[in-house]
Amino acid sequence: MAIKVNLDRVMFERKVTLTELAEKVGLTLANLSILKSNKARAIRFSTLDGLCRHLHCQPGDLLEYVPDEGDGETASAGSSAEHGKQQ
Amino acid sequence: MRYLGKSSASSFLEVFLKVVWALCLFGLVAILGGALVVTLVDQARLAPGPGSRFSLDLYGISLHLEFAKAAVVRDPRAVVLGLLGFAFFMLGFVTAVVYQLRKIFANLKAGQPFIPENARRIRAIGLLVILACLVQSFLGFGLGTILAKNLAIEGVTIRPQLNFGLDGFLIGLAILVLAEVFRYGAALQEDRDLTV
Repeated sequence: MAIKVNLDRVMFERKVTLTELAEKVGLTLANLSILKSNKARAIRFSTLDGLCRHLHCQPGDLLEYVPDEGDGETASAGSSAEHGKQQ
Repeated sequence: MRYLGKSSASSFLEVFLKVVWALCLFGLVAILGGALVVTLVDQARLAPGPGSRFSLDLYGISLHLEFAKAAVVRDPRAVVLGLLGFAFFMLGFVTAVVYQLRKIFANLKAGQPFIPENARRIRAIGLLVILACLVQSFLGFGLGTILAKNLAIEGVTIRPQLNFGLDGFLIGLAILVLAEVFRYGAALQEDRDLTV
């Protein structure tokens, strides 16, 4: 998966535990673990909204595009995404 | 009435299928035992004497045959073994289908209808039905040949015929389509489960 979830990094910076965040956002611990371990296939806007609200961050802080190795097309798309993030 | 989960129709059907499966296994063992007895017993005792009765099911038509006088059976052992062999293979298919159904209903009892395992098992049932349909045709022809060679009933001519029934093939095909629907459902379920 080219989209990486940086939830663990943001949580570490905000000093929030998984249990606390799950309680605040209204997610189950299992679902939040799926998201944290990058196993999630999709994320609802409502979940993203809850995470950003309680972690005081932007969706871009939580999600990152990492191009797959050996994929030239996605690599160039990745660099543009990286550029967008810097802006 | 609940259809999925514990104390539901699925739960009842799972128990029922367990019993049917055990009976099928018992039936298979009984047929093998019967075949062993037939190979050991004296040929003359196998031939139907006067007053012998047989029940015959032909696509919903049940015939009850009663022999007024002894039928001439050239090789009674071959006839009985042929009948037992046919019964063994057909019951074997039924047992395999019941086993797959049992596992599917166990998953339904656990509240998991759309999982890849169910799709695989439904597909296996579809293939078994088609295979059973083909095997039944060939085995039926083989059994008919054995009967025609060995059984002589006055005024009756037995002619074996290779007959491919389309109904079993169509049912099997419909089950395969259903399996594909379940496979798609399982993929959707997985997407849903991994959506946070």
